Amino acid sequence: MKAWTLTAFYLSKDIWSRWCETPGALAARLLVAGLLAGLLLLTGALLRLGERNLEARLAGMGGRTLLLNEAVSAGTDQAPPLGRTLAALAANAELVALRQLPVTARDGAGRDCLVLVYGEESLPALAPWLAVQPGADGHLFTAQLPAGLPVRLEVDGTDVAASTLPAPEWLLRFTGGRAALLLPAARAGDWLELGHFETVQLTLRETGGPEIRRLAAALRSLLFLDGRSTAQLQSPERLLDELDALQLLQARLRHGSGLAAGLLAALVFGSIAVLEYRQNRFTLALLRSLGAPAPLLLLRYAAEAALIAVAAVLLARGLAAGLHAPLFGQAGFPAALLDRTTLDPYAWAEVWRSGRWLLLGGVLGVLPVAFALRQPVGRVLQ
Amino acid sequence: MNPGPTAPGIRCTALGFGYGRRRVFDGFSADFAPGVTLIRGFSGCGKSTLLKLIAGYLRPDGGRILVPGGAPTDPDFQRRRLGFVFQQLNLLPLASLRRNLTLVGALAGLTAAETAARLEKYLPLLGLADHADRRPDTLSGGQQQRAAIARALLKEPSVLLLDEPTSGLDDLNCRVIMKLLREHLPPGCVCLIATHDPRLESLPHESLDFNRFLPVEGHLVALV
Repeated sequence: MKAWTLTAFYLSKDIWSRWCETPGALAARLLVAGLLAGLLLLTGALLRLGERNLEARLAGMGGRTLLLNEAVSAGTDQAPPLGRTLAALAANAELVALRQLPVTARDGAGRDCLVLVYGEESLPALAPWLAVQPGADGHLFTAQLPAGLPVRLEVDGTDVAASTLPAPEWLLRFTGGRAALLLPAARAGDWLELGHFETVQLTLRETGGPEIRRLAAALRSLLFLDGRSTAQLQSPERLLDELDALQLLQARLRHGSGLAAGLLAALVFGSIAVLEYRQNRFTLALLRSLGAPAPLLLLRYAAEAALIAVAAVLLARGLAAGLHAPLFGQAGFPAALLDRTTLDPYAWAEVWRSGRWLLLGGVLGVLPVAFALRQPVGRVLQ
Repeated sequence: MNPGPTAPGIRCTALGFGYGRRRVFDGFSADFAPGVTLIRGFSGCGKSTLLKLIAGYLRPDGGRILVPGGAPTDPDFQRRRLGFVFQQLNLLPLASLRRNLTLVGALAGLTAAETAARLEKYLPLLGLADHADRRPDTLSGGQQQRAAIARALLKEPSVLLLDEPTSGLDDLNCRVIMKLLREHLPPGCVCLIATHDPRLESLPHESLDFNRFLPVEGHLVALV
């Protein structure tokens, strides 16, 4: 053990001495590995930002949400409402089904609003919103009146009492931002006979592309089998496909660029290691003649390469982190996305993902030295 | 000079070796008993090559070599039982003389106390006691050569191989080395010295004289 320690100590002095004697060789390796690491990190960051941007778009468009629309004309032989038919799916997804009537509600100030009717299948999802004041028939979701205000509206010549509520975000998909009167089906009476436009929103409880695709496929089959030819399904599958493609591209780019960078690092590190070995081969042969194990001598080169690669990656991380906001800001990414407290492409796990290729390349670069060390000592020493 | 198979000497049997196409040995056999053997011969006849083969630093392509304890290529033999002095570049340049010797002691499996005791013994004998903390590049050629011999003797080896140890050394340095070899060679040690230096003749020794052989098509043919 002491022999290994002393030999390793001598070899570490040898590394230091080489660095002092030929700082250019050290600088060249640091520069090349640093540039490669910086490129890898910035490419990784670009891909992560692109992915996050797409995820944000997906979330904004209801990444876990499927929408079905069905227009039902007056006087047709009406099938059960779409929402009721799909109620069985409530175990997997939160279901809200609202039927928009072809009538409008008008308040005392003469403002029109939509009339939406819900059935019992939507009660679990709507329950948090439906605390009603005594005497009210329904709810008026509006941003123009304070919450909890009793109002009277006129719908198709009928007086309806409602209580006001601010419109929640999910309701915007149904109303497009307009005020809406929500009535239970029992209060809608004959208005439903006039025909309606039903929108069903299914929000998956589990995230992930496969679940969405499975549910979308099931819904298409169901609509087809049920003969609902006017029903239309809107799903985020296209965006999910884009996200999948981006993730696949990201993985390929990561591996491809990492492999290329590793090979380049291996070439540069290997060339310099061979040059240094040639200058140092007498000393190494002498150490071998004294019984120092060849793996330990090889380890000297591998350790040096690893040390330089790690230093280069750390330098590159600092540089890339400094350039991150100005560089990607100019590239058009929103400032919120560039906030590194929410998305840090230079977290250690990311740095390791990029840096391991350089580390591997640098260490593999010493392979020529391994072959050179197989040369018999007697052919080197005179 | 003919040790039996169990004697602690060196036995080379039908040795073959060449550098590329140039054959140096073909069917060469010799036995070396404990004590000093001077190996002489014309330049390029294979004196240094023979030492390197015995040390295991080169591998023969034919025949075999037996050294005390087994085969020359055994790492344990090289670390613990072999002392080798090259013609040049004998010391690690970045370590002091003391560090050089300590490293060799550690590789040979000596304890720190044993190494220290042997340093105390050999450095004064070679006139290096005051230079132990100097780096090789600050030592003269003679001091470096003596230091190399000190390093080889530190292990108290059973095989000591010296390749032109006195070439380029003045008489004083040469006498120091001869005195050491005469008086402090470890008991039972087989010491082979490849040399042209006639000053070493005064050592009690056996001889292997390659001048008595003539190289013919790669074979050494004895002159009658």
